[in-house]
Amino acid sequence: MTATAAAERAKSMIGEGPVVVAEHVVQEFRVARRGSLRLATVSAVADVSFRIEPGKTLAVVGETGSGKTTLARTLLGAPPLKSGRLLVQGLDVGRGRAAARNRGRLVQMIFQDPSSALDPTWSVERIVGEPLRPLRLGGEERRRRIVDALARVGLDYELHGRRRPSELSGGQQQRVAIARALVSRPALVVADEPVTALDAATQSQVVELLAELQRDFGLTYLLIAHDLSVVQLLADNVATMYLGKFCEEAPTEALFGAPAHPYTAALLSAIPSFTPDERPRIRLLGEPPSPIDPPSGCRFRTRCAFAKEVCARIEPVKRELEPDHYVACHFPLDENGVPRTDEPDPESLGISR
Amino acid sequence: MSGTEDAMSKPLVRVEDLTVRVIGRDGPPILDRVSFTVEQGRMTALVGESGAGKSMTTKAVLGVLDERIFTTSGTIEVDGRDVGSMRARARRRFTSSVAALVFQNPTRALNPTMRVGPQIAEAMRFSASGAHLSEREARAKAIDLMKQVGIAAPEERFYAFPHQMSGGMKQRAVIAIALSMNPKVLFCDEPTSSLDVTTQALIMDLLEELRQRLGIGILFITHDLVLAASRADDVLVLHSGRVVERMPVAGVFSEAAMPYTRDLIARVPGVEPPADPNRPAAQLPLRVVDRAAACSYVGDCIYRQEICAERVPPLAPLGPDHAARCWFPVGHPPLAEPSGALVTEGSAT
Amino acid sequence: MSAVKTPTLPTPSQRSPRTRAIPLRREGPARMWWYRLRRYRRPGIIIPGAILLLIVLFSFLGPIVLNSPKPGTGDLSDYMLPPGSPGHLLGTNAFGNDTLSQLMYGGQTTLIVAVCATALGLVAGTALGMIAGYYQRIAGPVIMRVLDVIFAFPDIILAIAIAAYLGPSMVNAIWAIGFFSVAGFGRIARAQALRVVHMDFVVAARSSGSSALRILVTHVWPNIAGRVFAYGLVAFGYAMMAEAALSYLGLGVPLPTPSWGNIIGTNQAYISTAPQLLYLPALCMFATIACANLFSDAIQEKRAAE
Repeated sequence: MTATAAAERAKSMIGEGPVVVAEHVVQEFRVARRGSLRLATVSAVADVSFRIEPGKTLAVVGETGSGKTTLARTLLGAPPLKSGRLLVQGLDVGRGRAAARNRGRLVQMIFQDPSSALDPTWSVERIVGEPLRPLRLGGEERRRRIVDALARVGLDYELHGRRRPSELSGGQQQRVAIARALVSRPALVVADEPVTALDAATQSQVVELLAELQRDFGLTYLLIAHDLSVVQLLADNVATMYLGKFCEEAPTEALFGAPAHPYTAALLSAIPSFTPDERPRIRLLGEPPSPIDPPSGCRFRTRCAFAKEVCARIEPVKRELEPDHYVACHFPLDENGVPRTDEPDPESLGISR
Repeated sequence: MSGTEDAMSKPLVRVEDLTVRVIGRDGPPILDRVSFTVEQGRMTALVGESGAGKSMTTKAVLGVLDERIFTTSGTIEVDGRDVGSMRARARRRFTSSVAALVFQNPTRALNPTMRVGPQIAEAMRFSASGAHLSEREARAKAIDLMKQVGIAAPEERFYAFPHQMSGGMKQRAVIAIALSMNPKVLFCDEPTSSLDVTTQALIMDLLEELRQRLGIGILFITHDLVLAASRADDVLVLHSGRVVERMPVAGVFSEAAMPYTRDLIARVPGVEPPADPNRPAAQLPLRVVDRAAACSYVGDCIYRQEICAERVPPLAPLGPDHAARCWFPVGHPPLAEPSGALVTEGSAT
Repeated sequence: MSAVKTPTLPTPSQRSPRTRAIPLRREGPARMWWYRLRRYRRPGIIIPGAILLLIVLFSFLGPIVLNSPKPGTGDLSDYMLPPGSPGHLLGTNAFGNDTLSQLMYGGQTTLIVAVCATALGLVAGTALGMIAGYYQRIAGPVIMRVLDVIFAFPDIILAIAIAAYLGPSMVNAIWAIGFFSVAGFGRIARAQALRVVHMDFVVAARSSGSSALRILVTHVWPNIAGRVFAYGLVAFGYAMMAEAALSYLGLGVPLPTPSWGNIIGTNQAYISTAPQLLYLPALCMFATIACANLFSDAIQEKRAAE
């Protein structure tokens, strides 16, 4: 499919509904704990819901322990979600054999570390061709697609096809990973910190490549990142995640310009800047709690500078503050970074514990 | 200058013309005439990419470079004493009583098989320049230090193992160990690179507080120019072993004169690079005959001219506290003609 | 300050070309293999390798080249000739068999037994180990406990027990020795498989729809093969010693087929009169096992250095 044809197709899909629908996705693990015989449950992703429209990028931003990587892998089925619903192009990609088959066709992932994302004993050609297996293409068509995918990411099949990953630079390896993610024309590409492991100069090149490919092919991305600068360049919508829950979800400019959730505000204010006085500094209190035993009510309350008594009792539910701007907080901030005073009573909105 | 002024303005660390070479290897030295100072209560940032020589500088100042591989020359003064001429053991004893290190990866800096509290107390009890406190005294002091660095519930955390602590907490513990020797200066080598941005902000706040409360001077090494610009007092930009710019942090964004520094600024996403005044157009590929005699940035500089490949620009003063190593500093009169004639003869090296 | 002409400032397209990597030449596949082979040209690899090769050639081609008598065809009248006797370079044994020919044919037997037993252990052990590494919840622990049972026995004892049960023969010796080799390979294969199974490319393959078998064969095995073979050389040494022990006890290769082990075993009584009957086969075994181990070490060093 040529670039323009694919873009046309993507554009035609707009209005047909979102490409990705996630509803109440839950992911948990059982782990052994010192001093206890019973297994504890790590609540890595707790009731996450979102939608992604065709051709758009949703960025999920969070720090270590937020569950964003687990969320990405859950979308990939590694392991599949414990409960909830996950649909891509209307087809189930949650649990079960049929879902696994759908996933193979519809969802691809770009991993963070190119050195472990590519099999060092495989040639580039073979790596890029692997997702094509379930499609059962003829040899000629398969080769054509591989050549095309490599060309799209700026690599040459003749020069690089027979090479092993160890013979390529980090940036080139990541391009191979991107080519592999694209070659089967997936409906959703999950990019897990795609540039974190690269040096600064290469980072901008790869980010530009991802943006270009999205424009040309109408790809839909779920971007996982902790580096907000990458998010700014690629994302249409951003969601911040803390301890397994979405705190806030909004279009990029709205989130960066007027964050409503205290965690988002703290995150943004912690970024070093040449002009540090512009943003009011919101500090996080204390230490990150453990996902085995998350705080009652709002999971963020132990570190929130604005937490009130009700935040421990009632868990805030996601609501639409402004069009397309969702927050899960009892006392969201206004444009000045101060909790609003005109908020409805949390008792009527949240979930009591 | 009066005596008291002298005492107050005496830098904690003074390095002049520090040059480190690999024995037996020709070509440009690993560090080339690096000079800087760290003052009391101030943070001096050393900014450079990997391979620029940042860690090498710390190791040279502390005297831990293997003398069979590296030769060091230049003046190194710590707390007024010339450490370069001291013998190894005396030097280590002296520097460890005055300076302390904070490394990038707190997990590797802590002994995983030992509880955290005793690690903090260890130096106070057993080190050569320590106070040889008793176990109880050391424990009390360690808990106090943990409180000072912001570790919650220090009495319980004293007995925790490193793997039971978060990254930020581990780094605080490392800083507590550093503080246990009452240092006057801290050498921090990328202390926040492995931490989340919110934790990074908290650790930087802690360093700021230590500076103000205890008057500690900090040499802060990082690859992140923005981080340095947002927290430090002075910044030195290192490239391939040479200091290419030195300036107070306040003007970095708008007044950086060396093209490498400006490139670093331009790379920060979401930042509009400052406007470029008229510059001579770059010549296309230059062959560098002798790398030691050429500007270290000549391979990538968009403004390079013939002279840049032939002579190392001097670190010329451009204003109070501002110096840049470039023949054509941005926003300032050029120091040379593109073809090679020097405009001002006899500039400082 | 002299006037420096300042022409228009450079547009982004005039930015200096960054250093580009040297363009890769298009190489044929044969040449690529030659380049990769050339990297093994270290003395630590070449010397033991060459000696091993010599030993193999000695055992298999020697009889043809030197036209040696077949084993068991000795003339009793040539009883216990000393080395240097005409027609018998190294002398003869109590049955009149030429010692040199015994060594060569013995080498064939011992090498074949050791290689086959090791191969058996490698195939079975690696398969079990990879499965144990991939299915870590149930199959893994079960397999490892079974292997632990095998491990618990001192290897030689186990081989002896099996050989005693099956009766002395070359094939039975291979089974017996192979059996206890499985455990060692199983451990190595599982440990390596665990390392690989967590890598992102396995996650990617799984999500692309590859079956477990496909992943094990195409992804896991190629990434562990190196270390498995390195261990294989060491296991080969163990197998040789096990064969020698079995044959020495009479449970291994039965006469008249010679093997280095049973040559030693049958000539014990002559240790003071004709010691060469004992130390020559021992020397051959030592050389082979030592070179196998040195070769394995050198290869691992080479891989670690890269």
